[in-house]
Amino acid sequence: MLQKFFSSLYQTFLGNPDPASLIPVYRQSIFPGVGLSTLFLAIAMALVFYVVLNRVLTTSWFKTRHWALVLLLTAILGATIAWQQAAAAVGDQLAQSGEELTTGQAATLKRYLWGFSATNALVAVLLYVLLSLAVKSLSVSARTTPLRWPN
Amino acid sequence: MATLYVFGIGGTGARVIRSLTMLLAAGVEMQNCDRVVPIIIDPDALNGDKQRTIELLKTYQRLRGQMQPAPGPGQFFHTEVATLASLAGTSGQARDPRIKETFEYNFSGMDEPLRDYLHYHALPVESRHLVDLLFDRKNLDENLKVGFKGSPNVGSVVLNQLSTSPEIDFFANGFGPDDRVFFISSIFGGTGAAGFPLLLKNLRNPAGKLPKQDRLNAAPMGALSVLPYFDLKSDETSAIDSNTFITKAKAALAYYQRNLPGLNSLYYVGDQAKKQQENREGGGQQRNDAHFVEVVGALAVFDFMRQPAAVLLQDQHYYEYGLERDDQDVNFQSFDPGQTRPLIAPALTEFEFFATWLEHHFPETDDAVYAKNIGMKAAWQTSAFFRDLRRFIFDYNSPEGQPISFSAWLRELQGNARRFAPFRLGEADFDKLVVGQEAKKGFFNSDAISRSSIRERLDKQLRKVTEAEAPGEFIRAFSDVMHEVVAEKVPGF
Repeated sequence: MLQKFFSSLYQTFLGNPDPASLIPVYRQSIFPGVGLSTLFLAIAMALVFYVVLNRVLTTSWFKTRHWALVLLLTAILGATIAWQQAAAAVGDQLAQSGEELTTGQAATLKRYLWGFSATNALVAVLLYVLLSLAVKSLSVSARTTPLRWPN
Repeated sequence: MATLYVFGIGGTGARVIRSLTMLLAAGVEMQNCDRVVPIIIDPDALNGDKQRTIELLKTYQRLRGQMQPAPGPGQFFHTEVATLASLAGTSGQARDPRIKETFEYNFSGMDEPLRDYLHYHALPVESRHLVDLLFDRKNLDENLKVGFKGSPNVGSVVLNQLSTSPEIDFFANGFGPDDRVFFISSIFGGTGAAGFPLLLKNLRNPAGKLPKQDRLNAAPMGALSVLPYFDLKSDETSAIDSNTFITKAKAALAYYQRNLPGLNSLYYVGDQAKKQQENREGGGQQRNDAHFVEVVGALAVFDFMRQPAAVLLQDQHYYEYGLERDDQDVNFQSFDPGQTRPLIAPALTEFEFFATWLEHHFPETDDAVYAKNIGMKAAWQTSAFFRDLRRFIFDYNSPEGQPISFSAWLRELQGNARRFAPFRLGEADFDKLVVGQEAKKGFFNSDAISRSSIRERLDKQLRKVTEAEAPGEFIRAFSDVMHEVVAEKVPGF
């Protein structure tokens, strides 16, 4: 189910993976793997901001601008995870199959990876925002960050 | 509901009530009483001291009215302050349109010399001679609209109108079985020195005809008589000469010795004059800076209310105030650790912490839960409550040249002599705020009382509050948090 969900999510933004020979590895390994990692990343970042910084510790990191900084960090980490996991999986697949990519195919692959990283950054942002709304009530000092609703 | 009626007579009466209001705002506990009704009696309609105190009282009343439910004991603004007219609802009386919704007795239309007031020219010749004997020409020709300019002989005649006024009638009619009366006046001036014994005589009169006279005769009554504590700059053109203060005080004391029937407690406070004030006969210009003696004077009211009625009614009690250490720079360490210090020092410190937070730390935490939940950032500028609060604490929107605020009061006390300077004004660091009671910094010079720790406590207190209940919850939360912080972190309390 996760595999289907993440495959549809990424392909809605990016279209089918290119080159086409790599479609199975994207659908079976990269999309669900990166999607799940990104979900865990967003959960971890939201918990760090709301629970660690603003409940367990008494820090001054409770303002919207601090939340936005963590959001930015999540986006960068999301993009990095996507690039690294996808590049490693594609490399393994090519090594296993012994397939050689032409220069044009290599350029297409690189372009797709850039797009995937950017998309995953967006996904990470989206998940972080949704998780913020879900976990902010666990916080003491940042219950109203980034906005009061729904508390 | 037990009510304390405080009659503040003359400029000194108004100034002591100003200090009393500040102590009440800080949450100093007024025992045996749910409500204080200050009544300022001063014929000088434009008197700066009076106007400033009335503005302060009105602001207090408006603020307190917006706090629902009302703050509890020990919290800021706990004690209700009400006008005489506003008692119509609770005392079971009909509203009297002649009694204005204000904290002052209405001397309307007294814009004439004493000669006209007495209808001197219509008097029989024998009476005219008697008047000439009692008053000199200057007394007779002075206009009464700025008070009695240090002449108690004039005041004692004019203030007689009080006993037949609708205000006194209304006051007597609403007087409850647990109510008490306290008079505050100076003994060295005109209005206060004359007004106090006169008012007492009229209220406590076995043959009196006031409504509920029996209750008045049986009620505990106390008074503060302020002895000279400041000098005035010498001015040939002024009718007031501070060199006569001591002589007048002695004469009045001799009179008081025999003529204060039925007074239960009499408090005296005074000081060697250390600083000369501007010599103003009255009007808007008469606006003396707050003085430590007035703070001590306000303590007399708390002491009077602390005592059970049965004890007060047993005998006559006389009190003087003694400072633990005769410091010229008074701070909390100068007070008796068994009485004055525990009574006012923690409460004033908590209120000063509150003011310091609002001035220095609120702008840095306006995104925090406590502020966001009640929409404080926007409300700070727009809501009536926060505008009144800023007016009460800071010099915001005060009448021209007449700052009424808590900050101005502390500033004036600090600039006067003797100085009362318990706080380092303008200091944002809570650790250093209380003079002589600095909190120890941590190992890495970290704050003992940090912004984050206070913010977190506020966030916890105000996490479930909505705008509707904001003013009351806001004050209660700050009272509780500052109370905890002061009790835990400030050494010496």
